[in-house]
Amino acid sequence: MNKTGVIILSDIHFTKDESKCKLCSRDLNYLTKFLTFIKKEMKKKNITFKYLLIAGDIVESGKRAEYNEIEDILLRILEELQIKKEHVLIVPGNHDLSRDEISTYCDQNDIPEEDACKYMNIKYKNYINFYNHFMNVSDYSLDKAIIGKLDFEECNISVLGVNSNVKESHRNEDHKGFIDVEKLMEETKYLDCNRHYLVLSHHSWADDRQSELPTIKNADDAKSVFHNVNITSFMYGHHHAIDRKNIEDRNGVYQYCEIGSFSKKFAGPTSDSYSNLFVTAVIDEKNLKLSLTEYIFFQNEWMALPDYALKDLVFTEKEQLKIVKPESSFEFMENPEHTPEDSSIQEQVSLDNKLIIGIESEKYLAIIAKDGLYKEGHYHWSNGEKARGWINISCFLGNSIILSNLRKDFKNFYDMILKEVVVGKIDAVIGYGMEGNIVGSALAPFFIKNDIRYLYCPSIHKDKNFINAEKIMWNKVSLFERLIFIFDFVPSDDYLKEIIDSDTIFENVKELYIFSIFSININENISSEILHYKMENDVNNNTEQRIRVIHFVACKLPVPKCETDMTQCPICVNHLSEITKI
Amino acid sequence: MLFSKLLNDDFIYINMHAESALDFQDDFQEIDSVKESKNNQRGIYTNSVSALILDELMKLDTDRDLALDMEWISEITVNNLLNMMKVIQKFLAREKNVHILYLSEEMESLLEQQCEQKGYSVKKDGVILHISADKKSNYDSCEDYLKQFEKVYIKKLQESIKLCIDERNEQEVHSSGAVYLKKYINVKKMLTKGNEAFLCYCIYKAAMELVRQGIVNLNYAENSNISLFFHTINGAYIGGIMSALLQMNFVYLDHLGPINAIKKQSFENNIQLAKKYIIVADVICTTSEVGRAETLIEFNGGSILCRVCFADVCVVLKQDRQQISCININAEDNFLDYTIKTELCKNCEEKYKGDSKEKKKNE
Repeated sequence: MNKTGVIILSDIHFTKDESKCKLCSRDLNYLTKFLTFIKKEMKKKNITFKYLLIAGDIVESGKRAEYNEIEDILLRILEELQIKKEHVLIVPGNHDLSRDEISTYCDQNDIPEEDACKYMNIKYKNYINFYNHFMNVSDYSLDKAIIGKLDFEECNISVLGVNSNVKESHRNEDHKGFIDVEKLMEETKYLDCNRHYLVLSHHSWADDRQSELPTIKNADDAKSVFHNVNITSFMYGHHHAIDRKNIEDRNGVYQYCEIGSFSKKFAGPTSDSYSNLFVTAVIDEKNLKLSLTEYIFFQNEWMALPDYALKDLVFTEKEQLKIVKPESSFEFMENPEHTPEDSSIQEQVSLDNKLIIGIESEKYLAIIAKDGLYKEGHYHWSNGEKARGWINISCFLGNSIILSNLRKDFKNFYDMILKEVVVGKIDAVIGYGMEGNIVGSALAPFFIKNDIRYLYCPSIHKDKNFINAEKIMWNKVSLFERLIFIFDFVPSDDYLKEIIDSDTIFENVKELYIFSIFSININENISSEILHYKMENDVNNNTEQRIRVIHFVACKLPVPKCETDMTQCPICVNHLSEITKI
Repeated sequence: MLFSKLLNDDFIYINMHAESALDFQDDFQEIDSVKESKNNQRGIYTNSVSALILDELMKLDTDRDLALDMEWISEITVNNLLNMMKVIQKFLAREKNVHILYLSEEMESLLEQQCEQKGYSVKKDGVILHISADKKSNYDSCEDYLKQFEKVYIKKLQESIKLCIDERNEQEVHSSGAVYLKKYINVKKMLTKGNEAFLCYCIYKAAMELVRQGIVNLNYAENSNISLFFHTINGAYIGGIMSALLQMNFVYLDHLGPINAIKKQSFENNIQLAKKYIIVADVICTTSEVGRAETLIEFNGGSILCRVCFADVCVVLKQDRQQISCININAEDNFLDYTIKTELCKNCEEKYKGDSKEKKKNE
């Protein structure tokens, strides 16, 4: 059965000037290519594109002649793709404003220029005429906050067209996004609370690019209103760029999807300077989500962009609202040996007592299998000495693709603990040992950009193998409280205690977040809290140091450790196996 | 945070290619990077500028001229061109000039067009495009500017290294070579002295020197037979960053120096026959450590392309292998007062004293 899809365009900027718009009436090649491509996509992916959304700046200058021509183009799109007009939602942008109209109106009626923005239906006169004619209506008005609504018939998701042009006028100083929040509060009361809504506007809601054009200046206030009616998803254009993200702010967690410019051209010697884009969404009625794909016009052809973060816009019930994680989310493994006595503590922080395993774990195992990096054998392990030869870790880590994936794993781990666990700043990340440092160094620019201190040190058990300069961590200024360690293998509680003991800079540590490449034993003695007794000068007066520990493992690859002491182990004693502890 | 930011009283210098190369963004892909993701244009292979870097430029203080080095950048989207114009406008509004180095022809004509529309004066001299709001602005020669930019970099590098020196007992034997060292260059200290970003920039410069010397190609596919190799924990830090910049695999040994403590390790599939290796180290002095590494590599069938290090102490004039470094410490420019001694130095000192006396006598 065909899936149902939505085409989302923005910033068409239609004009007769060929140097400014690829969608030129004199040469409809661009439109033809687009339609041909869409039809191919429909066939290839078994989708019927039933809905069309346009996020503003339909024309370049708000002129009647431009609207007349774009109307014909849009009608052709609807006809060829068999999209009904009642399945179309359009919102205006700042370029859809009729500057001449509003300027003349102010002049003829002695209205101060600074009040020009208040006359919504005047400043958008040509747009309203176009809309009425195109949509076969007669009473369209922009004097509202919600200027359109489109219900998906397949599920209870609707798209709300929101007017973000309240402050726009012909004056440059009025060029900003703004929403009439009072009207919005009033109008949202009448929304069907059984439906989920996606907001479509022209101006952006979440732009942290300082040098970009203005966003909606009262976005926070508008989002507060939306939050009350469980609206947390936003689509917009305006910046001619693409972006997808979910962000938590004071109101909650929001999903944002920015749509690029469909056909704007830069009037320069290289007319391909603009990247032209559009977005499609496939409706998943069962899971209540919209699966997004972006397309770019590249080297004279349309093509799909690779997937990245926030692939889907998810619509959930209010009480189940959660952060939609990027591609690498986590699998949690319960540690059966360590259920906390006080289960209320467990509820407060969900990550305690769990060994978090990265979602790329299977990929790493596949590479290990393919490259033959794992050796079966008989291994003994202690904090002081680890068995060697069971995995060719140099080959594993030396693969730049693996290192790139480990980098992503770490970033996801870091984001997760910051969001869900850590209260306060992480004091430093420490790359422990050669492998810990290799992973840490690959993250160096990330640490620097995010003002995270990075240090590295060799294993404390190889003390005599390193000169002082390599051992010292050169941090005598402050004592660490919250640390992330990067290890090759999951360290045991005892090993962590030894590390804490090894340097005075750890004497104030309260929280340890351990990122390890490999597990050793899934049922290893790993707990969410270690008790460490700080030795004072008076041996009868030791201070208890409670340190909370959260573990993450990139690759779930246990080592078959022999639990028998080496001196008693018949395999070791009789040298039956070559691969043992060195 | 900008990695390549260099300051003196007259200008702020930013290397745009370095900023893009060190921008290890794996998360959201902005449209500017769509071509990068297609053609593996990460690290040094990038040839465009991202909007995030231009955002950082907007945060700069405008109390001096701005110099943007666009070498190796050949593409810019229109959005970013407009963003760059905003940066330029910001400086020009404060009566400062903007100097853009190594701008490609295409970008130059786009930028000139934008500047003309705004009424700015644009003057080209050699590889530098000068932009000013004042049509009567005068500029130094292109060579002078380039020397100034290099001087600022070297000065900062020398100052950074001076902060990394561990003073030693003169009689202390160097752990990785049979010589006495009074000073140890501790690259790790750069991480704790607030110079982490600058260290990354230095590593970038070393990586680009590999390109300039023809050892590494800017066509990623041509480098498939090259691997990095490092063998110390400090070398691992430098090698890890260089691997991400060059998008290159690597092999490492734990560890060949300063104290030789390598455990029995399997070399299967690690060092490969006919593969070429670039040795990465923090400091190369007597080449004893790198020499051991090279022996192991060649013994296993690999070959050495060159050595790359942060600091190169030139103990002899001619090396047996090509060596690329961020900085040289040599007899002509021993700004660290770095000395190496052996027991035989006493003979040299006495002989030197004797020769001097003889010379004076003859005179």
